[in-house]
Amino acid sequence: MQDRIRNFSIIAHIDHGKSTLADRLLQITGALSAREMREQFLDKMDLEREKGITIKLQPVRLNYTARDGQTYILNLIDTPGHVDFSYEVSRSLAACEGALLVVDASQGIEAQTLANVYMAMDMNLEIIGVVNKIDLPGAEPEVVKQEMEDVLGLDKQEIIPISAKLGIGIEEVLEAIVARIPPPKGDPAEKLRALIFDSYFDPYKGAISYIRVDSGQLCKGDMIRMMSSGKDFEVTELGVLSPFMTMVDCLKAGEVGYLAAAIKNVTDTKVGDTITSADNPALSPLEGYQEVKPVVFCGLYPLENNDFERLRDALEKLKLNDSSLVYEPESSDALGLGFRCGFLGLLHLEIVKERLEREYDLTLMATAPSVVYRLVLTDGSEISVRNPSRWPDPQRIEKVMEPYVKASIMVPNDYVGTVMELCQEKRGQFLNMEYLTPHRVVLSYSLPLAEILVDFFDGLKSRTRGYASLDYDLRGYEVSDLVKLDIMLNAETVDALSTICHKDKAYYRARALAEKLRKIIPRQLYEVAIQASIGNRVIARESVKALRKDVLAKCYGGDITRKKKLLEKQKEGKKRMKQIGKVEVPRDAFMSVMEIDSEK
Amino acid sequence: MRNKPDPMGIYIHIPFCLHKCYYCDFYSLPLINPKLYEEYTRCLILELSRRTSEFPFPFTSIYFGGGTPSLMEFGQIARIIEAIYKNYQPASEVEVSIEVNPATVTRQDLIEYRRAGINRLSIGIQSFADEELKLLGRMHNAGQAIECLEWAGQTGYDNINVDLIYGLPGQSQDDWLSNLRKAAIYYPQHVSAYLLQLEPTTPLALKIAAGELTALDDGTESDFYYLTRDFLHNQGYQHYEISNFALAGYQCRHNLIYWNVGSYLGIGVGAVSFDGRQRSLNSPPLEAYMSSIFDEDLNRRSVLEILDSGQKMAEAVVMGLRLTKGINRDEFKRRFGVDLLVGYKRIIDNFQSQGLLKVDSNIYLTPRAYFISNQVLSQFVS
Repeated sequence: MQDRIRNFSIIAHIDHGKSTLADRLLQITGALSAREMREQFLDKMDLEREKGITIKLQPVRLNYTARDGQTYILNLIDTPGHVDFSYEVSRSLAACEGALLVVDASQGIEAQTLANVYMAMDMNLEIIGVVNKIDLPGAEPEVVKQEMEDVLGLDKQEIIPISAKLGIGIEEVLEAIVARIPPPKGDPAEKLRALIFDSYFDPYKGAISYIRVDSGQLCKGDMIRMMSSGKDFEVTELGVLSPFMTMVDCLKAGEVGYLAAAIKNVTDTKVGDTITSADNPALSPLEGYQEVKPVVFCGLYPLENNDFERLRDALEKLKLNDSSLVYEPESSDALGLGFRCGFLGLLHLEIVKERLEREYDLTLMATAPSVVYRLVLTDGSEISVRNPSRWPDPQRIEKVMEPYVKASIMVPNDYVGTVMELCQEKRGQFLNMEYLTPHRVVLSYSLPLAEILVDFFDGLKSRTRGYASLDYDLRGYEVSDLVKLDIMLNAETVDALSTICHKDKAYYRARALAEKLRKIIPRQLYEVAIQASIGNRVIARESVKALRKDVLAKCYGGDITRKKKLLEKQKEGKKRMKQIGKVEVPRDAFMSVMEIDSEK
Repeated sequence: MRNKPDPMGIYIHIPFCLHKCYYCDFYSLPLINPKLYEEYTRCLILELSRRTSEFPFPFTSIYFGGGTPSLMEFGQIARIIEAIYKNYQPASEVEVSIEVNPATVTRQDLIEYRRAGINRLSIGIQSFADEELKLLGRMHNAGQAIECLEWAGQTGYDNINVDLIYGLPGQSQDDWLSNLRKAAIYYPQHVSAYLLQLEPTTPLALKIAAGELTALDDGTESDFYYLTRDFLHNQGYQHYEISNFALAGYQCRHNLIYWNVGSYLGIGVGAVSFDGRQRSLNSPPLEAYMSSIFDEDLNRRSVLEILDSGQKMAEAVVMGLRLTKGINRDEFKRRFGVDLLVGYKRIIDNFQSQGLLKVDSNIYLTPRAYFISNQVLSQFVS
């Protein structure tokens, strides 16, 4: 039985057709009837469908009768494609023996894909190359195959040309999975070791963990032990996702499924932990995951102050499903009680915020995102600052260091100049340039993380008409000349609007920020003075003139319904405002202060 | 003592116009077809006879609005009024208004209207300056406006409203003052002074959007508004609603029904009715409306909203605060069983502290709140 299991994942860049291929696999193997089928089936979240991206991996079990007449169990573990979520990819890969590498026949390999393929190769996964979208007019499957051979060392004869959209070549892919990916090796007779590669909270069943059994076997009613904490639980439900939850009695070595064990405390199922038997425990856990460290921080505050506890609860539950999320309580003079949260990137931030709002019915404000700065103070002590409002008095600062990344930008050689220009603007230091093929270049730059956080990727895309792709790794801290820029509204500093920026850019930023705030703060009963300052020095000012007109001149019988609707709309708008002192500030203002660089 | 019945108004909508003004976004038809007018008249009379059971109360006002009611023949207006009195019970005193357009009305019409029972004229003067009238797309000129006012006086009307519009692109304070001065010469009992509303799809708004004209800024408009208030005050007018001024005893009773959330029967295409609970519309287009009346399909009327008591109360606050005297707390409590100060405590406290609301036996806007009144009113909507 075990030799007829294949565990695989799909590596692909955003838009290269991963979810469509997954849809086809579900269809061809009969996992879904036509009635059940809908696009991007494995992207469970509405958010994923809306954005057309995959955020959360969603495992699924397929039964496939191959040409050799045998029926195989194929466990597909879908992966996200965005750079923010590369840790999810590594988690998926750890549960697999092979991976499909899907590359768009007109786009070629992208930087992010390359990074993930290297990760898979490091883990000794069997890579099956697939060239997708061969039906498109601009497709050049042969060129892309050659590129995959040159860059990744795949045999181009073995690369499978497909069109997931039209269903071309899907059977070949399934056959290759069966023929080329090795079955899982673990011994069912050994002691139980199972890897938790994801989990989420179900209000009825408690924490649900997605697991891959590495060795031994696990049955309903077994007592299990979490190896990191030593806590024991009884397995109340076991099952597989095919793709709907289907209960089974046991899961054996090599199998992938889900587990519920009436685990009420969400922190008790840690992603990356190893499950073993409480009666017959294994000696050592499986190799877990690299702990992912958040690099972007921002404050999340409930618009209604009394929602603070609900926010805490929501974060706790979300964390179970998203182990990379970190948070701790903080308070702001302007916004009240909230949490400083750490994220893997801005998309991650945006998604967490949206999930909290949608899934937990909260209305949140996010402060401007910040990286973690390291400061050496004049007394010799060293501190980390991840909230600009905690920035110490400049008099006390000896030295400031900020995180730098090594960015690899893959780009057609026509665009090298414009990309280099962008990197210069973002305080980048050139490291290296390498030709992958005669037409494709990898540029390496050392860049401050803070500079690439917000709009670097957008700038890159627009300058290269979408052809550039980006991957980056944190490489450490470097000394930098940074200052804290404060914003005052009617002479009162709004802590949540403070940002850190490079001294050379401070004037420009201050002006842009003040202007932006003037545009987004609505006119109110009193004039609002906006000032941007460094220390006590005001370096930019703007004002929002007092509201002079807001009136319905006419309101008679035939028109009352419509006029009332206008007023209702106005009232709704007001609800999205945060009162700071006497000033009403739109709740998204705090986030938007970071977006000014892209609006030159 | 017998309880005085609640005032009820009857509104008759005449959708026809010579042509549409450049700032108008109401349902109206640029049509002059005498045959259609006659058919429409018959239709209105039929609708009046059909809806008697909906409004069994005595009516206190009749209002002919439009469109341009004065496009109709006076005989037709007379027959409609006759039909109202035949089918509905009048209160002891009834205000009967008609909107007239100086471009379409004759001296003879005014005489005949009076004979038919009209006792209040609302004259759509808008401006006494030819360039301004042209800009607005009005069909009359300043001479006709003055002539119409003179006829109204000569034919014995003692309850006349003058509609004026201010805030036109390029209008100066002096331009506007001169309009007010000219109106004051005729000393009408009532003045409605409206800020020009630039509804997005109207020709005037499009010209501004295209940069051909420049709208006045908010500050200037506000200055004009308070100037109007001061000017008319000095002439002896009471400012009684955000855009309305009247000599003592001459407030428009029909419009007061709207602001007091009273009941009204709307007859004709595009007219809205409110029975104290449900607001409904005789939906356009004209042909569909007319065939529904002739085919006795009264269900074609579309329901705009149904107010529960909370919503009705909120509407009473929003509409009532448009009146400068505001809302009488005792009356409000009698009507809705809720003390305003308790029910809306947080909102009222807030605006009181900001100097936008005042509270004594009544709750009312302070004058500085008038021109930014949406800030206050929007917080009361349900």
